[in-house]
Amino acid sequence: MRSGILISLLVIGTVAMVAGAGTLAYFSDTEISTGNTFTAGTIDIAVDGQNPWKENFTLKDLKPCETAVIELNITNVGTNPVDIYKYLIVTGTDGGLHPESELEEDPNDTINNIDDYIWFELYAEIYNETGVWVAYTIYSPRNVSEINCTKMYLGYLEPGWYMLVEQRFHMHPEVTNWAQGDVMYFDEEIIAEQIVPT
Amino acid sequence: MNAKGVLISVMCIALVAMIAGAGTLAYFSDTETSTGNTFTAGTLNLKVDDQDGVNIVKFMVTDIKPGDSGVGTWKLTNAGSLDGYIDLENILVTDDENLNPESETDTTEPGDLSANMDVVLFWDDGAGGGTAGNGVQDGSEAIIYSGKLRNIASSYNESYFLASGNTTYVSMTWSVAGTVGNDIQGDKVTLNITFELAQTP
Repeated sequence: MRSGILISLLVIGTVAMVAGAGTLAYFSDTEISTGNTFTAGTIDIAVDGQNPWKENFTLKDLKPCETAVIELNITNVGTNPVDIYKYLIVTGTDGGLHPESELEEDPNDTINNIDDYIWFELYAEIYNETGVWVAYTIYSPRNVSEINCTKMYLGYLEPGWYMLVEQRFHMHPEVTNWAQGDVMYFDEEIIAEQIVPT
Repeated sequence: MNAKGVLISVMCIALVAMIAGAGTLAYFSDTETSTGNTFTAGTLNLKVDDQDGVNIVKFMVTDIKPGDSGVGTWKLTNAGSLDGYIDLENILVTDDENLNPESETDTTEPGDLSANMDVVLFWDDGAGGGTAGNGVQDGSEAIIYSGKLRNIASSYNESYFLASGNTTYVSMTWSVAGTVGNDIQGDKVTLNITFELAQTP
């Protein structure tokens, strides 16, 4: 009987194989569409050749009528055109040094709002990837406290284009000794935004 | 029995046999022939974009940004002599971080594009008053898959009937929402798909 079972199994196996072969033998045709790719672009800027930007600036010893300058080179190192914006954010003021000459007008060194007495102006020149001048942007003088936290549009950069930005900080001529030694702290934030189709 | 008797017996048998034989040959008969009967196997042959046996790369989209969208359409033609049924198979999505600019917020493999790309794969066949092959899911054109590209299945046993000589279309719309942000910067996704025309559903 044992060999009988074995033979039965073999027969069943053979039938199954034949049935399987029959199924696979139906006609079919396949066509492929492989290697379809979607690639995201990049939005990326470098400032003064740094990416990420890690510079900080100290404008020392500003006096009435004087102008301090911060210059930046903003380059579009991504693969997309971008709009460039800048924020100047005053993070605080303090009395700083309190020389004897400040005592008369500001005895306790509490009048420190020099951001109301410094004009800020900006001039940006835009160049293409081969260094040919394209456009410029100008912001005429306004007090730092007025442009504080304001989103300022600097211009449009194609990939490879760059802009040279000159920021001028000019202390009002009428500022007197109350401001001596006073300090203004500020952050600068430069933003590259994707051009959103309209 | 003597020799003469034997001879007569043999002759009688021969005579009977002859009569019987004559009788057989004389029955009515008619013959008709049916020659040249042939059995020819049919053919199942699917063409994509009128091409046979050629990899049809439908999408090579670069520089995608949040808010971008597009569509691709495959033209499927049953160029064989047999009706057949179409299934979608061997669907494979492969993500790659590709470029990692400083501004990218997720640089860990795999890439993040397929998880942030919405796709609609549908029979662009003009059903229910839609327009065939226009890349728009209009009328009552049936959706095969709608969702993030990353979650697409590896196959769809659609058993979509396509008669011999007929053409239909499969389209895929894609879009990246404007809210996606910097996670996908420079990322790349590859999509493979196989169309099978089969004899049986």
